[in-house]
Amino acid sequence: MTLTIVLAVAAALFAIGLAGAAARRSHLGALVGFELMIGAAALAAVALTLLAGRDSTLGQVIAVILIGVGAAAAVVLLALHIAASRPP
Amino acid sequence: MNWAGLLLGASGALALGGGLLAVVVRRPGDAVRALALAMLGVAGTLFALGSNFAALAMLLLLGTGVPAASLAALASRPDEGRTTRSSRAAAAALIGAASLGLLWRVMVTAQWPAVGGPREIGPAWTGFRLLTENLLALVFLAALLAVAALGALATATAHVAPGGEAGGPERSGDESGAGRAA
Repeated sequence: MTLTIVLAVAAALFAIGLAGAAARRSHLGALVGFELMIGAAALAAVALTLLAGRDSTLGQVIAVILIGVGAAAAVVLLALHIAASRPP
Repeated sequence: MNWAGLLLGASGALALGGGLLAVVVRRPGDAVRALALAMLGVAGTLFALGSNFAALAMLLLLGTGVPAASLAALASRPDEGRTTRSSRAAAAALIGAASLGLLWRVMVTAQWPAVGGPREIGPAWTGFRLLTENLLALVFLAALLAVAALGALATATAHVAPGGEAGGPERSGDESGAGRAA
């Protein structure tokens, strides 16, 4: 029951992030939505491995890799945001 | 209800509330602060699930990414003048509702295998697994971060040509940023 609630929270967070990334126009808005989706995916990975009865280390490794990918995307999007907002 | 249940409920509510706030608010600085709340909620949920290693990694991303995003929000142009068209907001809400329904259908109503197996896995064991069996993924991740950092440095320090011909980053930033607002 608890893991089902966590999965529901992850699904809602992913939907919120997707809607936010689609609605916002700036790079920073897209970054916020993307980071929300990455957090939801990490949450779902851990909850699904626990729910499936597998070794929870696998979910944590997937979550760490997802967080790293999110950090890389954040670096690129922040650089694009700074370059776009620089006065000509 | 024990402390883990309380932490799980509070963290889930914090993650959802922060996520909603990050999407709704218009000022970039407020959005970054709300994103920090949401990521704190996700980290708390991971901690309540017993995934201390992933929770620490999420807190590390929070501690490094949010100050950088706050600085970028300070350096950016004010966003108050832009208004979101109602059709765009409606399309975004439709996308969010459709994805929520689909994910709810798949993740909540699916018949997952029976619960079992080891659950008390500490951060030391996770780190050991990450550095032995999953070392290739870690190396790829480090390479990805290095390439992203180099690309970000090149993008952020690119100069505009005197004749007004901007380089790639300037042009792409215009297309997806201020260009779309016009």
